[in-house]
Amino acid sequence: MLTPDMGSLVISNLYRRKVRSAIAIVAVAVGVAAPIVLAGMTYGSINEVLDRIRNVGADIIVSRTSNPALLGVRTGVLDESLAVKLGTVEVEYDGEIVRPAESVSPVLVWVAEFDGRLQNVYGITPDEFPAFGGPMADALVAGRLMDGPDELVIDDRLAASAGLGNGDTVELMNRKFTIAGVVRAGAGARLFMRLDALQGLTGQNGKVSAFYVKCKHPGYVSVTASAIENEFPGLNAIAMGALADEMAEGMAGLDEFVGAVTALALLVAGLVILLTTYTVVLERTREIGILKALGASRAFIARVILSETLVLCVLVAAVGVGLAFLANLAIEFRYPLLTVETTPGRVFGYAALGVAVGVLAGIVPVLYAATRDPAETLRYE
Amino acid sequence: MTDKNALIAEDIRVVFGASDYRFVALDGINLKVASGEFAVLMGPSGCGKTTLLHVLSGILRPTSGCVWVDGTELTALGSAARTRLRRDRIALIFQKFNLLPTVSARGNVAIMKKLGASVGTSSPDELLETVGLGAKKDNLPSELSMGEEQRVAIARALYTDPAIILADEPTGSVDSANKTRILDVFEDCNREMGRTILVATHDENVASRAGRVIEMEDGKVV
Ligand SMILES: Nc1ncnc2c1ncn2[C@@H]1O[C@H](COP(=O)(O)OP(=O)(O)OP(=O)(O)O)[C@@H](O)[C@H]1O
Ligand SMILES: [Mg+2]
Repeated sequence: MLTPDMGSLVISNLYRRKVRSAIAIVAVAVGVAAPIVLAGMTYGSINEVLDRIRNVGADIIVSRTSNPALLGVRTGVLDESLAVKLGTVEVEYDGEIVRPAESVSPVLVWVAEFDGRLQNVYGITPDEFPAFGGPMADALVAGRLMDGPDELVIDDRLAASAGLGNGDTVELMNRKFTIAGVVRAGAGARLFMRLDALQGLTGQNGKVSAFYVKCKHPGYVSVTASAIENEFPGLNAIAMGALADEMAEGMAGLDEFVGAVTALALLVAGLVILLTTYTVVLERTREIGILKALGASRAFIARVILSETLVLCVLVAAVGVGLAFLANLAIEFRYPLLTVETTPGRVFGYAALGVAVGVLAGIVPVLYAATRDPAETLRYE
Repeated sequence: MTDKNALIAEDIRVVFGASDYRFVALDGINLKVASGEFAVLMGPSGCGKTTLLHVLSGILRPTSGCVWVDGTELTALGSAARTRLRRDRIALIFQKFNLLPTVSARGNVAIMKKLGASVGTSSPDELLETVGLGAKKDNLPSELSMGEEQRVAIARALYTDPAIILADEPTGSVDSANKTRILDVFEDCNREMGRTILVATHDENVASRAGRVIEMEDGKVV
């Protein structure tokens, strides 16, 4: 499409109109970068939540609410002693009566302010807590688990964002705590305390918010969840795998939301390109008239202007992608708790879409200009 | 001089404007220019010389009338064919030069080859030297004087080795030394290469070099 000969005309046109080219590039680049960052932030946050749920490590969460996100709102509503009963529930599976529970871990969820932000605090029994998919000790990245009532374990993202590490002293619920260790993120909460310590601190002795039930066999999960709900009216037993899938499905509408915002951003980008090329064409109607008067075919004129638009759009896409990465870096630096997920496919997709919109927008004014009588256009000065 | 006609205009009328404002710029022009002839169009400002050259080169469709170029009826052709005919046979030197503003003097001459026109044996650089612009080949039009721009436009026209040269006030902006130089080039083109030349001018000096003077007044040949 771009012959070397014509290329020089295209390049000199772009180069001689530096300011116009620069403004167009920046304006449209923002249009390309916006959806990349937006989609990255949206999908990043959602997938992080989904991952956290998938990573819980327990198969079933038993609580009074059907929405685990609300655990912290209705705290201390279950009796800790229920653990034993849950552990001995029996179900029929494959014609046999089995006791599906491998372990039942009580968790008290409390919401407290930490580092200027509301956070879930989990009161757990570190030896049994299954949320890391294995022993909690294996998830340690620094320090050790909490031994005493004055000790906390935090996750690495909170550690990074608050600039804390093991050995540091912090204040939580008007008490001083020492950070005993740091675990990797992904277990539902970012702050962990011993169950008895949190119960004492909040006056919820013997009470918990939920039980994490781990089954001996993946096949047991759904029958066990229904059995628990039957046997203990008023309790919700949520199978985690199903929950994550259900939530992911519920997010389908989100795809459309992101799609709509993306379309909007691209539309604006397209309009900017349209406006730019339109001004270019007005500004260059005379030039197009000259070319035509000298004997340039319509195809030649269209090629020159479209190549110019294409070069501009490719530059724009490159700048846009760069801008998006800078924005992502800035966001992750400023808000370490936010996950921005930028896949190469999505970046490439938006960049390509931006180029396509740009070239399409460029065609319209070209068609208009290339079909006029040269003597008419030569009068523009 | 042959008996073949390079240009024929038959009853050309050009009316500008719409319903409320109408201006008859050309009012029934009949004209023949023989192949190999060097003719000038003379007449007061506003009599329609530029308009006639635009019609003869096919960049302006007349309101009515016919134009033949080397035996082809230009006014019967579609826009694309007209453009091609112009590129291959006619060099038009504009009164307002019409250089591409973003490319150098050399680029403005060389552009003709990029458009697909067949070019002569002289290179753009040689032609710029011929018109006395050897030192300004890399200047942009905005870095040239009016007379220099005019000479670039002439070099561009000569580059394509055209059968017909239509020149609109080609010496309007140059000093007398350069005027002589340009007229020498035209005379060369006409005598040595047998090109047909039609020049619109107010200048008696130019007219004195031509084989024939066509007088115009108020959109008519008189
Ligand atoms: N697009 C237009 N719309 C309306 N009137 C026009 C247009 N173009 C030219 N005219 C008029 O047509 C007449 C002839 O114009 P033209 O440019 O052909 O004159 P000219 O003989 O070349 O004059 P000059 O010697 O000053 O160059 C003028 O009166 C001009 O005002
Ligand atoms: Mg004129």
